[in-house]
Amino acid sequence: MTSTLVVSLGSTVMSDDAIGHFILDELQKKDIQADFIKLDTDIFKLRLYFKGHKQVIIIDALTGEFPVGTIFSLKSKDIDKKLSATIRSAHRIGSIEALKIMQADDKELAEAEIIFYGIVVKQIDKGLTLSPEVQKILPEAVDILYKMLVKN
Amino acid sequence: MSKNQITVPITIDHIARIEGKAGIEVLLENDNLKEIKVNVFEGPRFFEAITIGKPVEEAVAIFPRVCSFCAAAHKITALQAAENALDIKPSKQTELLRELMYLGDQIESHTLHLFLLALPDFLGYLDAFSMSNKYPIEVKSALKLKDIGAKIQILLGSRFMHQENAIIGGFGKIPTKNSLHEIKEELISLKEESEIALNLFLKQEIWPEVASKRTHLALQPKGKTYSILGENISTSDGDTFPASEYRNHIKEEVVSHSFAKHSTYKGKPFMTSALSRITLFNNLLTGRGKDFFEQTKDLLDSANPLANNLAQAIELVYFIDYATELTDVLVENLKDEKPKKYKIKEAGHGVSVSEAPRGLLAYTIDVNKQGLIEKADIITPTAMFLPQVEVDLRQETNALLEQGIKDSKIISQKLETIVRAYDPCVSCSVHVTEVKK
Repeated sequence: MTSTLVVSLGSTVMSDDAIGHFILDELQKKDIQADFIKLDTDIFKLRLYFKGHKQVIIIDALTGEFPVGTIFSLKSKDIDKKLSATIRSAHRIGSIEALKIMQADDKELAEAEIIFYGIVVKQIDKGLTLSPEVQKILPEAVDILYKMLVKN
Repeated sequence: MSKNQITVPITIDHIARIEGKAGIEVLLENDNLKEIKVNVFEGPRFFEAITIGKPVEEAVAIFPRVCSFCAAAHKITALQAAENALDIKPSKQTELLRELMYLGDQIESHTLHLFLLALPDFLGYLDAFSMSNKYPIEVKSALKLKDIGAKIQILLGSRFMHQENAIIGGFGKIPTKNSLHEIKEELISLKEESEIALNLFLKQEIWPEVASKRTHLALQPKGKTYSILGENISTSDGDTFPASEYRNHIKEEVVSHSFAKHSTYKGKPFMTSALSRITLFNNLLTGRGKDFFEQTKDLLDSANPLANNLAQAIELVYFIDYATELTDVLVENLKDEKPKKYKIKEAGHGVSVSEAPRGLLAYTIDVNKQGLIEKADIITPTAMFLPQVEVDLRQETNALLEQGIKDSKIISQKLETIVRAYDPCVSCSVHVTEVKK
């Protein structure tokens, strides 16, 4: 087990919703000391893969009044404040609400550093590929996160 | 519109705590209900269409992706339909393993709905997190129950969602006896937790004004025990027909306000749900499920959609016990079996209907002699019960107006609670498409 767990959220058949999985695929090709898991659309499954990691990075698609391709990298306290105010996760029940429920039940998860890495997407509609606009931002999104991970 | 008419809309843009995007639109005219609609605006997903021309083995891997809530339900129903089309009879062991995987889905889905989506309504909280401070044991229990549902699906399906180990003819890899034994032990340890939702929903207020006579449809369990797999559909009107003939009995139509189609039985709305299963087949419940049914049957009003929460809570207890029994049988008799081999020589037509967590799920698959999908048809439970939801919302709104309640906030809250009691899965209801070749 490494000290960082990187998870991606999203439906694999809903185009840009899967941006997290695309980023995760690229990161896994690199030499990074971290555990990786795709959680599809259910963040509650994090419980099954979190083994006391010091840091958890959640990659997700975002919607909101921001230009497509805008990247947000939010740390613990900012996540709740910013996500509920101006942007929102594309997923039901709310990844953040679910995360808070899990943290209330798991001291180690509550103490872990949570980083929410979100990309504002264009379309959440059927499709196995990303929209051209989001595809364009993919290398940059991977690079920012890669640099963050190797710094650890 | 004449001058003295006042039209007031009540719009719930996004029903919270359900899977997918749907809203409710109420139109009042001179304090009378003019129109009420459940608007499903989640984009259509065309799942039947995207599998046309694909190998049947690939198609059964694509279909479950219609839903993240009940992927195992879609997987198993699609596999059964494909096997019926290819004339493959799976082994008894495969049937048991599939049923156990399906129970994992039921346990996980019922837990999520009862504890995290429906319960805040009745305890007076905005969401599950707000509830967790005062009800930490309940939330902790929910997470444990959700975990065991997921673990069952991971063990049998190789992953927690869109389980690829379940394939045509059987399972790619058979779980070990030890791993099944561990699941069994964990299921046994969760008996107490499984009763928590039941005890909470016993205190739930069932608003009498929303009750109205309705027809329930549910799958007749294949054996002598309450179950989710079978071959005939029964109705509360006293009819029974082969599930393979569902198309002759359940009609779908497109409606202008919804991306999900609307279904009718004998030209009328109907209900399919845990409440429908309990209403029609409570005599097949055993153990704690039977005991709890006997203790609570006066509260299980089959005319009241809010009773669906209690029905799910009884099922949750029963499914934990039933899954325990199945693991026991499997541990005793498990063989390292290979999936059935098959060669596609001719075209085939296969149908399968099962009981997903929120009601009947129907699949029809036509395969050509090259093994490619010619035609596919899926009707999800939500697409089946949506017209009945609108009937109930109309009834509730009229009742509230008669009581002099006109506050749009109160009306909205009540209507949302009724929709949530059905446990709708809007995402998978919007697979709609007319597939013609």
